[in-house]
Amino acid sequence: MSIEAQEKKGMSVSDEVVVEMIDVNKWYGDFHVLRDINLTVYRGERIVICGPSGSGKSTLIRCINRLEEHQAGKIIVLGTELTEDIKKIEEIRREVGMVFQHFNLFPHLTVLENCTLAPIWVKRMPKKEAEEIAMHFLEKVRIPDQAHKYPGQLSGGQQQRVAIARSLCMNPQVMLFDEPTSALDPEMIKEVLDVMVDLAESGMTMLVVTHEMGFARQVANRVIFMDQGQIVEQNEPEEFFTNPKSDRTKLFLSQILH
Amino acid sequence: MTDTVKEHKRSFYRTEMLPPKPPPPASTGVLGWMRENLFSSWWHTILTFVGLYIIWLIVSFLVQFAIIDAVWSGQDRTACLADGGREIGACWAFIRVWHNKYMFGFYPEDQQWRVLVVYAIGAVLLAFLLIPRAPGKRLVMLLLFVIYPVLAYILLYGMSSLGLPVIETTRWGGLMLTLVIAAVGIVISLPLGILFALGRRSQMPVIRFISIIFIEFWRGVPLITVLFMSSVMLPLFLPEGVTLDKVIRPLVGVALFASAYMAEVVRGGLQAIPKGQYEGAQALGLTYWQMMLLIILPQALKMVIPGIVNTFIGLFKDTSLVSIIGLFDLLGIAQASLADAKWATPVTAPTVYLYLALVYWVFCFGMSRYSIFMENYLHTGHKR
Amino acid sequence: MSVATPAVRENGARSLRLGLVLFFTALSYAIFYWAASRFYYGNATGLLADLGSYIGNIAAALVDFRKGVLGWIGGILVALANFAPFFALVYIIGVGLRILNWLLLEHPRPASPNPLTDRHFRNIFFELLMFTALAVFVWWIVGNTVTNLQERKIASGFDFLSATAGFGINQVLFIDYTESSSYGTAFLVGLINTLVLSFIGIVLATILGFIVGIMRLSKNWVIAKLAAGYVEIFRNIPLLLQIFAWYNVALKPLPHPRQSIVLFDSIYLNNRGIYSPKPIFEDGWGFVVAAFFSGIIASIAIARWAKKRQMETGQPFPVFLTSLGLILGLPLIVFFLTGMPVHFDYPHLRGFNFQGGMRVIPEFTAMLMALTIYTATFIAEIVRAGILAVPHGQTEAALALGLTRGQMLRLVIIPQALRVIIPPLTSQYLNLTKNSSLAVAIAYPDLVAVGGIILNQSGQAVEIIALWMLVYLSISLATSAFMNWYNAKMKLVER
Repeated sequence: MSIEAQEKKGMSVSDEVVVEMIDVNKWYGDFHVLRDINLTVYRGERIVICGPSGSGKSTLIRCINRLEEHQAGKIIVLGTELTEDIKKIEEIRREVGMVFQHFNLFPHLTVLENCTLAPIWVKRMPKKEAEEIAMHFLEKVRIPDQAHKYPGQLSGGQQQRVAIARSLCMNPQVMLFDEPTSALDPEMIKEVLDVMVDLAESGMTMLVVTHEMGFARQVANRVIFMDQGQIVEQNEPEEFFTNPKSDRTKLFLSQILH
Repeated sequence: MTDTVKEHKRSFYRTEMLPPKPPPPASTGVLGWMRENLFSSWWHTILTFVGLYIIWLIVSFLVQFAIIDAVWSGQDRTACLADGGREIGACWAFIRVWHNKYMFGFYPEDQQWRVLVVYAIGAVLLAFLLIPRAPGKRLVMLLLFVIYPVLAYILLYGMSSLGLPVIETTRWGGLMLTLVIAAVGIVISLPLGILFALGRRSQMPVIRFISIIFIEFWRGVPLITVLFMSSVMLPLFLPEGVTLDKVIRPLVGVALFASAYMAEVVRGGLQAIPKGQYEGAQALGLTYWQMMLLIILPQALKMVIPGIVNTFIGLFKDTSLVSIIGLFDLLGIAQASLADAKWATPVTAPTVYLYLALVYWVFCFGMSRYSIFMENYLHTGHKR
Repeated sequence: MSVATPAVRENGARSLRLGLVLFFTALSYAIFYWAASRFYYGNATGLLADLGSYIGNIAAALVDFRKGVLGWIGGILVALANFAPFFALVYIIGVGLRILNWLLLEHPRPASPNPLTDRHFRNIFFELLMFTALAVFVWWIVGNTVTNLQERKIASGFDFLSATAGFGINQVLFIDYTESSSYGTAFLVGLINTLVLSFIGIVLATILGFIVGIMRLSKNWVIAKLAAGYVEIFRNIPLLLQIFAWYNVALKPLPHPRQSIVLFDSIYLNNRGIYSPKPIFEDGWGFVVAAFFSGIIASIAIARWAKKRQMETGQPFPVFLTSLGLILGLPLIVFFLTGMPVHFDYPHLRGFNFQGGMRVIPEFTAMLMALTIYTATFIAEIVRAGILAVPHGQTEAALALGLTRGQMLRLVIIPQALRVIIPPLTSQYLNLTKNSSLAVAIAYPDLVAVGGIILNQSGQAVEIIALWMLVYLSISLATSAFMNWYNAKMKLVER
């Protein structure tokens, strides 16, 4: 175990596989967007995926809860293979939370209703209990006082924190983050990252598509670099940043870290 | 710890990039497209076949009626009567006989070139106005909205001093009258609509109030009552002895009616102009009218071209209502032609309505395509 | 040499402005008075004399309630047409209010010392000018109308509404009407026919429009294109042409009553209309109706209870199926328990025509078909746009949370799409109602068609047209009031 990993105290990784992708391929029309992806995610891992735009990193994590369909290969999430079976897809989505670049909060519902919608309708939870859980997570993301406002009344950073709380209310086993800070103003990025760091420290399995390299160094136990639809390099953050092996990775890092 | 056990699997790098591979054959090409869009599940497969069957029914009926079984020539009803056991489709022979009336009404045939000249000039001017990249928009606007109406009036109505015999409006009819009403409607309603739109956004309470009353009144009542009003009440409004032409009366109604709708379209454009544009213009020291004419209106009008065209489509369709108050526009003269006893057959009415539907459809569909084109054009224009 | 302080200058400017405003008011009133006398009275004192008698008349109308509300409204309308000073009153009040407004609100603002370059002063001057011009114009029109009516010996007023109509109407619903009924009753029959046609048309067009709109968004290419073709074809053909086509091509050529097309042995289609059995209700029917309504009430109660229970315990309840059972099943059970208290009056051929049964006249069918098919194209486009207006991210977020497709539609997509759909949908409903006036072209006895007959018989053009406008404007205003309320209620809260 590296020193790096020891410093990230309380973030233990077990050998239980939660997501497994085997030779996954996907095309948009004729465009080959995912090429032979092989990836195994263990419980408790914090994986940061980076890469130039159009490299397929968003598509990769969107395949995990089947917002995108893969055309070849296997994806197994929590022991269930993703197929056309709608019931199984819904089961998996219940266990996999997702946070989007543009928040995608429901504008016609209050913050609290956004958080309780899925627990009430999907988990058949009594409203009171759902609200208690929602308030718990809203406190965790530090905005319990905004519970009765509408998303349109919040700042971008606040909205994104609500979106994280909304996903957490379903008590997911895996969290997917699709560029959660790209649509935010600089001063709001930190408040969202702080919440994500807290989440990582609590032992959540996370796959994060982001360019926030500081975040990667701080919490990730693995960084994946993608280009042209394939995994070009993956390693522990320390190694990845100090000693990149592939030329493409070096070029990318030099551009992003200046 | 478990962490170290998996270490070797987690560090990895690629020395050679994978080349792109072609997608699996079933997901691209015609087959892939069909799988995606027609047969994605058994339910969609059924829907596809039901849909195709309905299309087949309609198309085969239309082809059978309008082409295969159709009668293309003849002198009277006997040509279009089923006597020899043959199914009789569309009676195009009837349309051929009446076609000139459908186009020009009772306009004398030897003078019809005047109408065609008016069409031609109008078409050229319109082309300049409607093609986004064509130059000289201001000049064309002036020509189209000021000079052209006068010219068209002289050509259509006539002026003995120029050697053009006067053709009374009672003889106007058919598609020509339809186009005249629609054209007058747009030429009057656009400027009037702009005025009322400005009035409705004015800061002067009286002006605003008058504009709101005007707009909401005309938008609140059906056109047919407006036409009744203009044909029955307009003569009452005027001093004794002053009479209005039978064609002018509905024109007044149609123009006022269309103005109200146009005003709302233009208002939409004015509202969409960012406040900064007003402030910028005021900061430059422009007066109200300078600001409106030079800065705001050009942008607002451009923005609502699709809306204006859609209003015009509505206006064009609505011109058919003048047939109810006894004018012989395209629909009016067609209805009148159905009373032609010489041609009374079971297929006459279906043929006429099919033909009319086609004519109206070509105009309206063409305009709506243009409106969609402009919408896309403006949309991309704004993005840049 | 004294230097005027700003305050003194300001005071001077104020009194100058006030003076100018009063002067221009007087001037505009003089113009108005001159025009009124010139166009309307032909002498100088008529206006003042009439004004006095007019106020007297209004007072008398207010006191006299014997005529009822309709008569009272009629009185006001008569006053509008007959007594020109009404406009003088409106003018004086209008200008007075404007001046008051200026004095109270705009006067204290720092102003230009020269009134002629003062923005507010200019505005007020311009407004006075416009108002005067408009008043003079209206006055002129009213004057001409009154003169013309007197010339043609047409008495104005709504007294004719109580005269005998003398014409038959081939569709009378809900109220009794015969040829000896009054014009007023005939007008009411027309109004009911307009409302019935519009209501049924709105229901059908909504159903068809929603189906087609959703079809246009289908993943299935054939279905989407079929819907698009339908919309593009019927939207671009004038409604009037479609009405004529339905009436003259589809319904008129139906066979004579003797050769009627028979459906289910009891429904007859012919060129006189559609004849179907008419249910005659017997004594026990009231119980069935009561059962139906209690079914509805019970369903609402159950829906509330189920929602409450789900919120408390999380347990869902099959509300839809239970409600269906209650609303349909309960009346059915009562129906059989009370011994089927209904029998049918079957239409039967007598002579050249059918007797008995229920008849739907072909004019109604033609109007309904055309209005439904035409309006549905617009509704389909509205529905499509409304659904497309909900960003795709909403769908993704809902699915990512594990909602089923049905829950996603019901809880996330439809509530948002409806906000976009309802306002234009309401205006389509309004359009349909207004378009139902085209019924006059094929003589379906709606408001305009019946009014047209009355207009021709009685010659009371102004009054009939005023009544038309009154009815349609009230419908429009009520609708836009609803729309404003809805928009205010549904507006998404933004920063």
